[in-house]
Amino acid sequence: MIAVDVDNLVRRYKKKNVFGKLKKEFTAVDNISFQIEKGELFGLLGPNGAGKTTTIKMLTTLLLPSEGSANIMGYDIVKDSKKIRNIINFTFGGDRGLYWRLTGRDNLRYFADLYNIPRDIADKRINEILKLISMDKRADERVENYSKGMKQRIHIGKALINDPKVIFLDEPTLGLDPVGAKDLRRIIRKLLELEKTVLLTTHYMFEADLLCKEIAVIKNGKIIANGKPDDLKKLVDNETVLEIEVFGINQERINQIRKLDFVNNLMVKTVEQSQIIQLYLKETENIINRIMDILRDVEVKEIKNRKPTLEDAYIKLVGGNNE
Amino acid sequence: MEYKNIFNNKEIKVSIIERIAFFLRGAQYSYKALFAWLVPQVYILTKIVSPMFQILFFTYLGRFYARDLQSTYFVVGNAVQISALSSIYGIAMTIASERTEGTLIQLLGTPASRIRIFISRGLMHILDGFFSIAIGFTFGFIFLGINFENTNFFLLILTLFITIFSTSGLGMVIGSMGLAMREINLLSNLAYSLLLVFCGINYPLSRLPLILRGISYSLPLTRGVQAIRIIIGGGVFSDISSLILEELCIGFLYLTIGFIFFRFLEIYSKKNGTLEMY
Repeated sequence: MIAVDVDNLVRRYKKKNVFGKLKKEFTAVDNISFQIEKGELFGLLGPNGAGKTTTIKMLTTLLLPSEGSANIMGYDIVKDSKKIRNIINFTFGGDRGLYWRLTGRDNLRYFADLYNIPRDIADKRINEILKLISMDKRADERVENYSKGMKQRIHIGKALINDPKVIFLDEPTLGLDPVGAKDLRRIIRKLLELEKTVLLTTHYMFEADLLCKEIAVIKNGKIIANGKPDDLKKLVDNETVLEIEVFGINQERINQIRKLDFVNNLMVKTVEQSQIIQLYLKETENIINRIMDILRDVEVKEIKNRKPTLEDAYIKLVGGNNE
Repeated sequence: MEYKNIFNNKEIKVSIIERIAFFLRGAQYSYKALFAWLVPQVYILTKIVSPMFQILFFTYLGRFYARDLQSTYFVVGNAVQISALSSIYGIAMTIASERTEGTLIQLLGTPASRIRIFISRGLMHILDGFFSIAIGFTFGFIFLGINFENTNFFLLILTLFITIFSTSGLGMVIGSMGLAMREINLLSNLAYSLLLVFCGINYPLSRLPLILRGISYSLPLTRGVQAIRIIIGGGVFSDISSLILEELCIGFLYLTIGFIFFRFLEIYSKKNGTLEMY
């Protein structure tokens, strides 16, 4: 059964001047289509500003589409918005969106009221949710005293309060420390065991690889690739990734390496004091000498070859950058 | 089954009693969650100490300049007007804070009735406003010689609630406007000052130029204060019935305007993507 069916969805934003005359039009979501099977975790990946959050806002009835249509469990997002709100829930990443002066438990109770859940059912449900999100011991503290990860877990708890059929999670692990993010991924996996349909947006490719059954990559509002994580990885199957860890390389040297004829793409990551240059190579024969020639007076800590990952496929799709 | 209460997929039937409970708890949670005066020291200073100075200032000023009016006139006028701290500032802040706290988008994503969400934000502030007036009257009774000997207390309480409800309507209009603009305090200050100047708090409306009296009668509080003065002076229901009926209508009118504006903003922001923008 199809839980989410998106058909040629478009969202344009119009900027008008004080006289109401159109100043600028910007297409945030440009004719996207995808389907999510019931009980599936679908990943919508893309860089900042790609249109992920706008898509979620339309699907959660918080924003009207400019064109196209979408159905959630058979209900139209425009005509049946009230019915949809009963069967979905959502979280938007970040600290905001909770009542900081209330306790975690009271936040959940308040939202239970807003979803018209009688108190006796809500209280039992909240106890279970708090256990599921590992917040049962801190539930009666005010949200303002929580860490970012704890707030995020309460957000997920809130997203479960109405026993939704479809859950939209917009960058739920954004800004969390590795332990917090891992814990949240455990909770997301649990949702699948409980047969929820989940649409997840994330920047973290390993997270998508780990959790998602199907993935769509969105760039400038358009879906540029979709399929299973392994299908996307095939896009970089015949490439090799060379990682060179260096200290204090300047932009000029990076540009010189980028111009080498065997380099398909280049990314630079800064890790503490060092930089890691990731080179996506068309060929691997006799290349080290040419690279080392450019790096002759740069301190090189390590050079290693590795297999391409989903992140590499993603970089290939959305285009690399220097940081 | 583990988590059987979270994931039971059963249709839930909600009784009328439970719906009333949703409303009352919503009022309580929103007051607790979004109201900035909840720190006791700030509450005491803002809602008790500062209003007492307003009562003292205008009573002594009135005694000096308007010898034809009794102290009761000023004490009653100011004690009732200070309830606008709750019904204007409190309500406006509670509604507008949903946006600054980032909870508005969460709220509008729920199936809850918008009227329930909107009106529940005012309830606790109406009670709070009543509490402010009670303190003002007690202060006036102990220190400024206000006399309740001929007062019908049931009628007084009824009229006070109607008056605060009516002023709350204006607070809700301002709160809704605060969802669209940042200047919520500026608007609240303006409304508070308008009530002080135009509602016959410290001078009879007859002393206002005729053209300005139109403003007085288009505002809440004006008729309520008149009715309360009549009740404290020994008036009965028939003396004030038309005044409190009109006050009630004004309150409903402002409440309706506020709610229409709130709904308009919801629909407009869905269309234009401005839910989290100013």
